[in-house]
Amino acid sequence: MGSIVANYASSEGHNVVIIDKNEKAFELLSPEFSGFTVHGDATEVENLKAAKIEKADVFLALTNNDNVNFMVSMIAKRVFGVRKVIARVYDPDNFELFQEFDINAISPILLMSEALKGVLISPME
Amino acid sequence: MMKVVIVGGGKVSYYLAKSIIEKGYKVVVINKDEKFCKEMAMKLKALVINGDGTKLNILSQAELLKEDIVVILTPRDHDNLMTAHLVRKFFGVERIVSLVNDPENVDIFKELGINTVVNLTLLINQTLETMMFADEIEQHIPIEEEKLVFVKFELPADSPVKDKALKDIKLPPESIVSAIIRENDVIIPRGDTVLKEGDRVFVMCSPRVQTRVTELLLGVD
Repeated sequence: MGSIVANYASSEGHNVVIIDKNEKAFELLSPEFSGFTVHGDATEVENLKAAKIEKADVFLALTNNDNVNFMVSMIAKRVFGVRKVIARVYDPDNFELFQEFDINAISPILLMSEALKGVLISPME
Repeated sequence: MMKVVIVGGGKVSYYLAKSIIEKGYKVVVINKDEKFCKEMAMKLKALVINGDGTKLNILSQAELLKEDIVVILTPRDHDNLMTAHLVRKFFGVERIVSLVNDPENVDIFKELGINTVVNLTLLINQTLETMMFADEIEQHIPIEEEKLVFVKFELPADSPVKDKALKDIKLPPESIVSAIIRENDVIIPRGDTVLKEGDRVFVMCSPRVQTRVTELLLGVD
C-alpha cells in the first residue's frame, strides 16, 4: 500500500520519505522512485525525526495496525505540527477517534462496502 | 462503587490486581492472553475479560464509568495510547495511568493528553543516580585530603537534629550540608530544609570540624 502511494507521489514530482520497519518493503519501490527511505519503527520518535517529519506538508500513516497509525498520526499532528495527516483505519469503531483529532481517516472496509453497494445495486435496476 | 480496570501486562497486573482487591476495591482485568486470563480468573476475585484492550467492544464489557480508574500496562506504547484515548472518549474516564515503555514517549504521551505515565527505565535510572550520587560527587570535586573532607551520615531515630531545620542547627562555619537523599529524591538543602530520620546527609567540611559535625548530627555517645 505504502509503496503504491510512494511511487505515485514521487512520479508526480513530490519529495517523498518512507519509514518502514520492514526493509524488504523498499524493494517494492519503482526504479524511478527518487525519494528517501528510513528503515525503522515509526513509533520511535527518533525515526520520525530522521525523516524530517517537521518539514512535511502531508503525513500518511498506512500500516496495517490502527493503534500504530493513531499514535504516529497524533505525533505528526500534535508534536510536529504537520497540517495534513491521513491514516488508514481498519476498525470502524476507531473512525470517530481519529477524526476528533483532525486526522483524515480512510477506512478500507467502508470504501469496500461502498464499492460493493454500487456493484450490488446497479444490476437490480 | 468506583472500580479499577487493568488492561494488559503480565505478572505486574496480577500483583497489582491482588493488592487493589485487598484494599477492598472492585477490579476488572482485561488481557489478550487466554491462558493468563484463566489463571487470573482462578486466583483473583475479579472480573476477567479475555480480549484486545484496544478494541471498543472489549472495553465495553468492562462497563466502564467515568469515576473508574484505568491502568494500562501493555509493552506496546501505541496500544497503550489507543486504549487511553478510547476509554476517555467513549466512557468519559479521566483517571488513567499508562505504562510508557520508550522513555522518549513520556513527553509525547503528555503532549497527547495522557498525563499520568510510568516509565520503568526512568524510574530505575532515578534510583541508580541516587546510588551513584556519592561516587560521582567524589569524582567531580577534587578533594584534597588535608583541606576538605566529604562525609556521609545516615540520620538515626535518636539524632539530636531530627525534625530540625538546618538553620537551627549550629554547624561550624567550616562546614556545609551539600545534599540530602531522602528515599529516592535528592534534596538540595536550604536553611528551612527539615532533617528527617533516615535521611542521608552529605556534608563537606574541613577535617578539623569533622568530629564536631558528627556529634551534632548523630549525638554524643
